[in-house]
Amino acid sequence: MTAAGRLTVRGALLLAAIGTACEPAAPGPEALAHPREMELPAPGFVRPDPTAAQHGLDNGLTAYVVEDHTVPLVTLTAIVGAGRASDSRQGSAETLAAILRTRGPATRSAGDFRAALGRMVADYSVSQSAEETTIELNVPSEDWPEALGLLADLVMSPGIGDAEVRAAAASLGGSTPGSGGGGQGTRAYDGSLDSAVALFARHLYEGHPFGRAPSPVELRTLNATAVRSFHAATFVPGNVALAVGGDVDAQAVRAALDGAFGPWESRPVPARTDFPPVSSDGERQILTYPVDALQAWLVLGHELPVVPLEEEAALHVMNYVLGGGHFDTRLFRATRDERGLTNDDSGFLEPGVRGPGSYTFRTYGRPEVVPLLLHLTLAEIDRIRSEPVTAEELSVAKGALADGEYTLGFRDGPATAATFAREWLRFGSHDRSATYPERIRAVTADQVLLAAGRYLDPDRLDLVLVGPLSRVRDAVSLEGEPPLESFGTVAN
Amino acid sequence: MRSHLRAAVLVACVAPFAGSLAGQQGPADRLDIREHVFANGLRLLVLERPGDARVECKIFTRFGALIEEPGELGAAHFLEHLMFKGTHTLGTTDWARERPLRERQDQTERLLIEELNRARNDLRERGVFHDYRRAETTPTIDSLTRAIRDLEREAAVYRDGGAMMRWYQAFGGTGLTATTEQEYMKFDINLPRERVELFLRVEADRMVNSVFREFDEERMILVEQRYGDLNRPTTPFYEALNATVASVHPVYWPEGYETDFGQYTRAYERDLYRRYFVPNNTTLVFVGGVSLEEMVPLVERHFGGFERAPEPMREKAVEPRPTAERRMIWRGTGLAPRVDVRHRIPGIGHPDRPAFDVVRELLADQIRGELASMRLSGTVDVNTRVVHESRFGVPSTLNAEVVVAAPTQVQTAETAVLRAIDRLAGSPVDAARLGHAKKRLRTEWYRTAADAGALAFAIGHFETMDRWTTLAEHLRAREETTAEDVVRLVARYFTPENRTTGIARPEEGR
Repeated sequence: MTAAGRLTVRGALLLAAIGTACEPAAPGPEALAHPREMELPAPGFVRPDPTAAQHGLDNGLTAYVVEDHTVPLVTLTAIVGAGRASDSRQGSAETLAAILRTRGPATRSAGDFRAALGRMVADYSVSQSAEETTIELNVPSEDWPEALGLLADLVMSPGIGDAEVRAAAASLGGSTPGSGGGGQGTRAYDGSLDSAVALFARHLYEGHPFGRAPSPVELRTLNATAVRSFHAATFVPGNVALAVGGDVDAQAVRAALDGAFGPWESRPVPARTDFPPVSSDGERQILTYPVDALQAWLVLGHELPVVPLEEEAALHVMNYVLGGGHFDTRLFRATRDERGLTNDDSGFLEPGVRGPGSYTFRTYGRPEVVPLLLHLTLAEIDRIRSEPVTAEELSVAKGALADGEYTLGFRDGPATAATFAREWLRFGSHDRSATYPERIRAVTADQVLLAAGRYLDPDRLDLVLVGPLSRVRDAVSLEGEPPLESFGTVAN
Repeated sequence: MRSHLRAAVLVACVAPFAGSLAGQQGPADRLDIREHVFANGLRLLVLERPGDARVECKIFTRFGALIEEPGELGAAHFLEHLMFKGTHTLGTTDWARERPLRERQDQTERLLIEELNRARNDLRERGVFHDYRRAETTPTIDSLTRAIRDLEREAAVYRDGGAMMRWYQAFGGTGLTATTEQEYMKFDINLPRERVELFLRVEADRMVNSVFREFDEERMILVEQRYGDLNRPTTPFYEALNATVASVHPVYWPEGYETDFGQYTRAYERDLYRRYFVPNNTTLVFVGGVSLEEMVPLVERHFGGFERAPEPMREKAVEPRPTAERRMIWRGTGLAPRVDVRHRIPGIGHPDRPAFDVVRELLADQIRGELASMRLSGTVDVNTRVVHESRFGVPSTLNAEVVVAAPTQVQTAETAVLRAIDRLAGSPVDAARLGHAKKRLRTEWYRTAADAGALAFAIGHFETMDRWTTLAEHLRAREETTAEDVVRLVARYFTPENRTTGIARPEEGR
């Protein structure tokens, strides 16, 4: 049967139904209280006590142990206060991370390291930002003693030799932002939002310590001495925070931590560097990367300076209302719900710790709607800088942040331990997490407006566009929006 | 009209499987799921985690892409999008004024459907490459389409966009999502335990009072999502391979072609909505800090008034027995060379199915070993994924894929896969390998169960595939799989006539 034929049959079948299409079955509108009027109780969530979880060693290392017997698994995390921007010899940090990922500790061969991970069915990862390196192991609880020993070896004695450095450096040699992202075993392809995000970061931090990437020559000339030196200077007890969460006996873990990390010699903690802001010539730029794809991906944004504690809450509320990565934001309604231009248009706050972070807006769509998508996104950015948020928007954002997102950091034992460890390493106290809900609840519409004015600057926004460029340029104006080029200077 | 509290029909609890692992606890032992079935057929499943400050809340409907027809693939998924557009009570500033506009919109669409049917011979697709009169229309069609859009603009005055999400967020909800796959649609949210009633209020409203606002705008969101899939080079390859595996069964159909998206109508979507979103086709799942005793009266308050409806139409397609080996050659560019060897395997609920999880693990190991012995480097992925989903209550496939560096290596990779299958069928694996495969599965399951959302999904998913009790049975049966079971199943199912092989050789050309 053809499609048209089916419509005939179906259309006939539906005639009766259409007559009552808008008749509610039950419950009718009158039977339902609006959520505002449901008198829902206040949540009873209480942040766990960090001091009960904290375990300090004499050498300066701080650990957090949180029992959680929901499933027989344990997550062990080491967070080191040194990342890509912390090395004096370019490439040392990235190479050390690569060694940790694939070679493992000096105390065993690479084969034994892989075999141990396999035997424990470990979920193992090493990630690195500009300012931090994180090593994480998730294993069955029966294996936690072996995993803790392995983590100690990784942190204290990574297998850094000339051969390992050459191998690790070679594995890094071909990596450039925007070249990956195929997934499912595909050949790498350049069309994706991830590519656009990576290209934006490369542009934002160009010339800044956060944007440095080792050149092939630097990687080729890197030796074990330089990597060891970086490790010795930054992987020191006072610059590491550990988290152990899961199906363990906390007392046993504390004793094991003392045994594994206690002998680690105390060394001076490297001075925490305050990184400079990124430089900007003040002109809006468009960076284009032509890719033959069905959609174009856009990342619009600029630097986010280090946010003082007293301004953090208003900034979070402002971003939540504008585009905080969920389904009911101004950006979502303007571009997705009301016009069907995109599947997503969201704002991302990615603050640095002691250096500049980024504030970006990420979206994508078919090429013919891209100028309108960009125009509407800019219009909403302008609106939140010029008009106070409504009382309802303010109330919704506060509830979402204080009663929702905040609690995710404490959703289970592993998350709680990691949240405390990271907070301690960064700030040396737990005041931020203790006061977050009350700071959020105290935010006013005026403070939101002030935050928008301070942390959103339309004149400094740059745009990265990955996609079928010629089709975007040929787009016909749909609602009187200007062409793409009117946004700023095309940089390449 | 809302009924009074009705007697509970059934309260059941899966007791731990005592001694399932010679005194050790197994994965199934921690699944203390409790059930209550209401008089109208609504099923409530609760896994209480005492002390948990939050609750993962999900509502599953046994409704998905399996009920779709060619030409309108994706209609089930589209209904999920429409059900975010609000109800009579949420999403409108004045339903009394909006309602007549919506009724006129429906009436106009009825005329449009009639005109589309009347003009069917003029609109029929005749070109192979979509290059001949594919976008034909008539003046009447254009006029009616414009009228529907004008009515949408008029109704937009009363729009309160985002309302189905806003109140969840305002009251601390996180992880708001919805998903439609072949066998289920679900909406979910994680809430503070004190506010779980909000979920019942919103979802009961969504179940019977949904209004399909911004219909044509939302249609384009499906286009965007489809484009997102098609931008991945693997998508067309896997879809072509799925189509090669089977002749008739919709489990292998993609989630909608671009040509389908224009076909959806409000009338068709509303027909699906009315037939399938009924209490006796619905399961509520809660995992977290609430008990069954707390939830029963709350659920009764919000859903107890819904009448049991006629049982929705079951999915009827049965794939014929496999009779011949099938091969597909993919020459498109942009995809790494690979071989993907697929065999049809039973669905969840069949006694053989749990052991295939063990087979999956062992086969992956065996293929890696064969590749190493042949000195060939390749990425091995053995999975049961079809479209997006990895488990079905109908027969699907076990897929052994090897991605290699060069087209010339594809033949060797295929030999490695077939040799690995022969070895598994030839003699039982040793106890250590079998034990480690089970440990991997156990650990994988615990990683799922650690996350209340993932666990609630697994419970609801098993209920839509078969029965929720099958989940514990499935986990237990995996643990009890023997080496002889592996030999038996590989020999029985991994036969040439049950095999479909996909080859990607992008550089080969024509």
